[in-house]
Amino acid sequence: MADTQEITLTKQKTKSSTPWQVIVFDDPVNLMPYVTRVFQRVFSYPKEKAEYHMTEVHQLGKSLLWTGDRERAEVYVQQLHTYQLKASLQKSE
Amino acid sequence: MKAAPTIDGRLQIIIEEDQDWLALDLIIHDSVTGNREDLCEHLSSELKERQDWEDYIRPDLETHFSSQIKQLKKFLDESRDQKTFYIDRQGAEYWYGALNQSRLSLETKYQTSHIESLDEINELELEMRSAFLRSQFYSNLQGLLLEYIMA
Repeated sequence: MADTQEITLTKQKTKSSTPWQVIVFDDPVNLMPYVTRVFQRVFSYPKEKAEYHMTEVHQLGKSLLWTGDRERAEVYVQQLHTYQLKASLQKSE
Repeated sequence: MKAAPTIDGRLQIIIEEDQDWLALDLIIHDSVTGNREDLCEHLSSELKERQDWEDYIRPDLETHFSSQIKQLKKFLDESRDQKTFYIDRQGAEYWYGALNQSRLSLETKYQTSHIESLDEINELELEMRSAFLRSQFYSNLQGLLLEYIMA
């Protein structure tokens, strides 16, 4: 019985620790300074890092903004949607 | 219409003729050219697991976007008998959001972002040209808000 519990706990830990990625996609409307500002506000990134991701979104069509636990990733995506940025989350491979 | 930042961190809008109000009222009109459902679809179109988002996030987003438009409409209605009004830092948030909704709606319907040169503008149908110019006007207002009020 004790062994069974141990296995279950291990599986749960593995599942919950799978990292999730927050990705922002380019669109033709949002102004570049605005996107930078949103990245600073949502992720508390310094301006240089926020500008790097903004440029990546603009030039490559998308940028990986953050990796971590699912719950927090969902909150970030919700915040990005509130700022009218196209965003998604996906499991890290 | 003239728009300029003030020393105390607000954006001053000076109404010069009645048509200026029409230009401002079109922000409200254009925000529903597409609709809020389309905006939510656009923002979430890359999400793979949508059910929780549909159940818990979409209703809040729709309420939030609707609130931005209502606040702007109330502001415009209350300012209509004035020749000059001011957008402060708090107001700039819903002004910016409403302008963005209008530009996203116009983009969805007209794809104005593909227009790159002045020569192209002159060759456009009147409806398309009007949509492009409105989008540019909204974008310029957003630029002023970002640079001087929201910074």
